[in-house]
Amino acid sequence: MKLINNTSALFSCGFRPFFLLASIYAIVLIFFWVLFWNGVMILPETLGGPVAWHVYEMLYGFMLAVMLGFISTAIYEFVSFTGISRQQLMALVLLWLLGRISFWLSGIVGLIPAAVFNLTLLMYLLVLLTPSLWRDPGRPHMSFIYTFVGLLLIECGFYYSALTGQAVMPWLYTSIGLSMIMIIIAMSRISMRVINGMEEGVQLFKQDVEYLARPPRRKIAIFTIALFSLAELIMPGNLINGWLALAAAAAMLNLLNDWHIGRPLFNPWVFSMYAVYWLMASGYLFIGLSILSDVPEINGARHLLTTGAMGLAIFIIMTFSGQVHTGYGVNYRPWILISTLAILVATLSRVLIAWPTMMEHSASLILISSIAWMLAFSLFIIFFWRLLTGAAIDGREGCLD
Amino acid sequence: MNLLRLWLRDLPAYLWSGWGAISSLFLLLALWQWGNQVYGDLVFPAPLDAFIVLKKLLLTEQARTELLTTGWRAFAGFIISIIIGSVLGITAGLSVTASIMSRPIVTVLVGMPPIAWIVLALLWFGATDMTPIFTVTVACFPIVFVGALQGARTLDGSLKDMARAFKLPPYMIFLDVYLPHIISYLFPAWISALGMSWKIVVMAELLATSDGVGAALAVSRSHLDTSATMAWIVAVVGLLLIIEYLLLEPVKRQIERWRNE
Repeated sequence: MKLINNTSALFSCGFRPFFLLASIYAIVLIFFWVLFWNGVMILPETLGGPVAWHVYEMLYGFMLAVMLGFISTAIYEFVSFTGISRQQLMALVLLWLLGRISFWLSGIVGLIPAAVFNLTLLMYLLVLLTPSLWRDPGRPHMSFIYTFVGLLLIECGFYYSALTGQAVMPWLYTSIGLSMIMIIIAMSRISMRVINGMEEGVQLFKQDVEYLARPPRRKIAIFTIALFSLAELIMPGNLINGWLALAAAAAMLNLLNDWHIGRPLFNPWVFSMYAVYWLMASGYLFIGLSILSDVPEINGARHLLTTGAMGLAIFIIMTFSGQVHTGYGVNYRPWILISTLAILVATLSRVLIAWPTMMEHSASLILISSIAWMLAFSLFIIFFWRLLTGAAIDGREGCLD
Repeated sequence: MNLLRLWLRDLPAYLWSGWGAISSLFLLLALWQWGNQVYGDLVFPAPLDAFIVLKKLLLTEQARTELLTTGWRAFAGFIISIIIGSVLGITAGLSVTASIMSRPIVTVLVGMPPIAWIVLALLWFGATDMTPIFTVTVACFPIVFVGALQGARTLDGSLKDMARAFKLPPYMIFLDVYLPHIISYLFPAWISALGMSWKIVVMAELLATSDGVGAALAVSRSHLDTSATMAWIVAVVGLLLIIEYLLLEPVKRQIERWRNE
């Protein structure tokens, strides 16, 4: 049996190859990471060392792949007159793959190939997207372009620091902030369509639900997160950052106002998205508290943002738009709940490592966290392999709307 | 009663929307922290240090008495000024002649610096409770007066006529026609007056009395204790924020609902 019996279907829309690659890569990365953490194997020599490898690949490998899949699909909904062709999509996938390979080999072949492929990937994406989003009347979706430009600039800074032998981690921490912003923007688009029943063929509620993702609240959240991330880049460890992180946490809680819409909130899709914001708020809360109380270990709190908010947001985006755009209609199946809980378990056990009394259990906690994470995305691959590689259910080509 | 029920129903959503305000306040604290890093602990103590001092202060019996004293003085002056200001303002507003005549007097009262009132009050009442209370009253009075005056002046004449045509009893005319309109002018004036009363009372105490937050500020100034100074400021401003956002703002929203409906 051929694993992929229909490459034409696989490349018919952006989400298909990228969601598939992202979920596989999520497992690969964590698999190697946990083996390394437990001393079973050493990681290939890469720039910045193992921690930089872990963060960089999770963000610019895994997260970016999902965002590429999301935006190359959503572009058809944002602007109907244009899109990304099959050849352009293949080029994006190829660049992404080259970016991954070159980064893994960066210890052997040097930084330049990794920098070239990874930066070209983002630049090529911007070349593809910017003209149509710019021509869109009122330019409602340019915020995606701005965040991708931000990501590109930070990635440039990352490679510049690596080339000149300076610390690379501050750039990666800033990338986490930008990823949060990207998720907030993407989720505001998805949530409006999902909850208000604007997504074609998706009717979550019988009655009309009034939900508005209000721009001012979102902008306050984006502003405070951006401020914190920049401050952290410019003056790491400064107490000012602590207050800014608390401001970001409060702004995220403020964003939840939009979501307090009564019973519809308890729909599993809606509640999962709601939980993402809670995870972000608690992440920034703990980051702020640990900076202000002078606790050096804030990586536990950071994992509330990455494993928690980012992991859950990505999983929800992939399962929801994966079902919608393959024409299967949304269905909250039991395995989705299992995966969601697994991501929460992964987050909680990773965060607990930072707890002073839990230090001694760190090896088993990281194992639990990794297994839960890999379980969540394995289930995704098992249940989505056929959907993503097969033709759309009604035989239509391209991105189903 | 109805107002209370509405207030309780909207309270959770209202409280939750406070996170936006809290976020802004944290940004202010970040700015404060930055000021500390530029100017040093002596000139501009860090927020956390001020909070620690504040916590210590609040645990002492004396600090609570100071806060209560100041609160009572501000409140007394505030209540007197809103009673006199509202009654006189509405009365003046109902008559064109009276409002034309009272205008210059209000201008004089607004123009009179509070510090001058403190000096006068010191001469009249000495270092007693009356000095800060009087200063607060005269400083807040013109704000409330102008608010009440404008509320009464802008009453819709045709509504008045309609009420008469329907032969509404006077108390209903007052409660259902005049009051909602006037309150929507009065309430913002009361809130400004409240903020004013806190500022004035602390200043009056600093100059004129030996107890209260103002006097405590004077002591911390003479000890060059900037942390304690900041702590007192945080205490006063914090109390004001709590009163304004937890008490007055929700009531104001309820009262002004008719504007949006």
